[in-house]
Amino acid sequence: MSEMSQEIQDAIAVVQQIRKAISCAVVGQSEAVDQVLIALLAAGHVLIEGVPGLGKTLLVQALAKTFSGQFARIQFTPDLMPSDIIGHAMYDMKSESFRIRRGAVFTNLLLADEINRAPAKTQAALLEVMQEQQVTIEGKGFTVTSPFMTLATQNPVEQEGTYPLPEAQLDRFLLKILIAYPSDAEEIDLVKQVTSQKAGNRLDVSAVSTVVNPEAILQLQRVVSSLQVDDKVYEYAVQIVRATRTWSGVSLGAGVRGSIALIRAARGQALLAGRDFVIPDDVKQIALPTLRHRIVLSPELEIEGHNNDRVLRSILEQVAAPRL
Amino acid sequence: MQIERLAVVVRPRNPWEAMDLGVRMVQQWAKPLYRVWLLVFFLIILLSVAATWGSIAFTPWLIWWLKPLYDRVLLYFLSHAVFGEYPSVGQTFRALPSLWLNFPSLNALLFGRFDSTRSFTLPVTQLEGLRGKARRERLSVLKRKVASPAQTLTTIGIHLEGVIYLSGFALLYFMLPQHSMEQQWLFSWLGVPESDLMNAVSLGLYCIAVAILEPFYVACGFALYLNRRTQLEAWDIELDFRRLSKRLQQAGFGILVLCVLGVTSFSLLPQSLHAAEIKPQQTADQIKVEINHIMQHPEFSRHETISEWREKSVESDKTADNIDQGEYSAEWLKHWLRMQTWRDMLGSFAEVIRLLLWLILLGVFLYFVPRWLLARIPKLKTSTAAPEELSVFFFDEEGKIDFPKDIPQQVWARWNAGQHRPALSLLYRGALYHLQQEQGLAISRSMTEAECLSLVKKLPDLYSYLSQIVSIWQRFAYAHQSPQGDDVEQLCAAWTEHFKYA
Repeated sequence: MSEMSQEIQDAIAVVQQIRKAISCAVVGQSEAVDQVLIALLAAGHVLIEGVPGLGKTLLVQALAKTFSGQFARIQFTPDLMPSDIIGHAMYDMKSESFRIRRGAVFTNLLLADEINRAPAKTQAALLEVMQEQQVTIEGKGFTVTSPFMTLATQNPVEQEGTYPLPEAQLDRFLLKILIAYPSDAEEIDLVKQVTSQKAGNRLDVSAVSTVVNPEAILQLQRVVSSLQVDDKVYEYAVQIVRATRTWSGVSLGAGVRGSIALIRAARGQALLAGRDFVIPDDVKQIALPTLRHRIVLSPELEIEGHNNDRVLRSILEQVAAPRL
Repeated sequence: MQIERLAVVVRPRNPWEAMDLGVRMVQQWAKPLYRVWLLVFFLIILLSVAATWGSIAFTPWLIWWLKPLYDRVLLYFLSHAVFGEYPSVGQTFRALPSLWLNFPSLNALLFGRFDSTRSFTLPVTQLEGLRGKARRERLSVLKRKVASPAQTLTTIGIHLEGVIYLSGFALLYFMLPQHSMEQQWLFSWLGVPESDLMNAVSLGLYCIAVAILEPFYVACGFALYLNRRTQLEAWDIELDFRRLSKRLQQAGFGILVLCVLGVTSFSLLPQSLHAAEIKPQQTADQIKVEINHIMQHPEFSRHETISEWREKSVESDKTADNIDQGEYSAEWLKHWLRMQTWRDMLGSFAEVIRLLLWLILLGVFLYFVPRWLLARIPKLKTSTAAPEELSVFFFDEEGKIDFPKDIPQQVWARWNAGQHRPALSLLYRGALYHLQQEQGLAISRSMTEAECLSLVKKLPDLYSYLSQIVSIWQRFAYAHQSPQGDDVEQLCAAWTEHFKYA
């Protein structure tokens, strides 16, 4: 058997360092932390959904602290304008000319907090930068520096005054991560950590140390994209995605972008597991966060209380795993 | 039946909601269903037209009469579609002989043709394969509470067929220019003599009505049947239990065993009580003898002799010795002449009976001859059938069964022949198969390597052995890193230490 290359071994070590650093601030939620890291490794964007007070924003801030790149946060509100996000041209009285003021998207990590509070027009301002990593202001294109990752959060409980994300925008997110309530022990640890010798309830990420720089992240992404994927694994991923299109009860299945996202995310999952090749388990484990926002259930199933995860689990139970 | 593979949501519904599900089923699978159905129906129309060539007025009646036969094709498709498989046109046509010959067609076309719950009872005949008394008993259980909705479904179907048929005539009538109405050809069905054109139009409209409605009729009956079985056999609860057991398998297999034992012991209790209530047969016979004996007593019986005059019958004349031969012949002739008048009156009826008998003879011929022929070639039938558990693991790239008897020996032979991937794949699949057979583990087609490994975590020896196999298999299959021959040989040698049979 051939040994793993030094480059991949270094990459695995760096990823474990980032994971450890984040766990200093975020207690529990290991699954969510891993999924955010997978999205970072696969150069994708994530949509994090959970009820208020589960540490969505803390998780993103802890991730931003682990590397020395730029971090920006936008609180989405109903009166937020597209120009507030991407930037705009303003008239400079001194030089008597127009000057471009760059918006918050010109960063490495962008936290779009409560993204569903802004109307569709403002949400759509993110489309171009998420897909093409460039912004058009006054007809002129501006490239956003790499690495660039959008981490959007949304609250599933409050429906009043929110604007659900359109399918086209949801498709741009590599993963949709659900943050659940922590376990008993995790919650006790968390409360202890946040309340001991601290005034107020500000999010504290001071314990998180910076372990990598933006160049190292780019290097990690290059390593991940070069991980080996066998044809059978490609076939397995595509079969899963195609099954969502013909499954009864799914009115809109995942598109080709879903298959691509599934393989990209599986590569990240493989590196996180310390492997230099992708196995069907990687695909299956990451299938739910990759596909749950790419399918639309039929009204009958929604009325009967089914959700996307349950349907996707049924699909995964029916697609044969490769054994040849 | 693997009810967890059902593509429809399993829960108890009221009959009307179940019929709604049938309609939704047709809508969902409309494209593949109608593709198959229309081709088969077109074939039926062609055969019917050929059979009634020259008297096209009878063709719609023949098509109507053959409905129980081609409904089976629709049920064949639907019964596969609920498990997520859509039979192709080729598959359906290949299945046609078995659909029409393996089930009692004659009864379906005679008495069964007038069954008002036909679409509901069809699955019992076709899918459960029940006949005779077993079928009647099964139907009596299934029909409780559902017979009325099933009859209503048939009534609705008949009316809708009529609506489409008459609407077609109305549409043609509205489209006709005023001057052609004077020719009166379209109104021949109202009483004036029929023309061939009129019959052809009638046939076409009837075929359109059947083509549109029949899938809905069969699907609604099938949905009613599924719903009834869900109610009787608690499929929804079974599904929930299966999901629960999957979760519990990792948490605690023992809890599940206790639950199953508890449920089983409770289900056995009423049977033993019921058995205790039955009295021996001998006691009942003794009671009967005693009753007869008591009834012989004068208090319970009355005998009297009554005399009266009665006309002598021909039979009694025949046996009488004192009547001469000539007189006897005259009486016989008179009787025969009386019978002639009856024959005249029932002449047409006898013709019908004769036709019916010929049809029965033809049916018996068609029923037994193909069976006799099929019995001549039993090997062809058995070689294509694959056991369920084998199909999970032992299909090769071309979809054929690849199940060698001595797995380690075969693995090593393939490895030495340079077929490394087939060898390691067989080793991995063979191990899974034996785990399923010997340890009773529920390994499904969808389980990946890590999921299979997690099932044997509580068996350290097997876990260690399977981990080695999985590790070598994954590195070879997905990382393209070939293992040493010694490693493979070692695993083959250790096979018999872990599994009973090679």
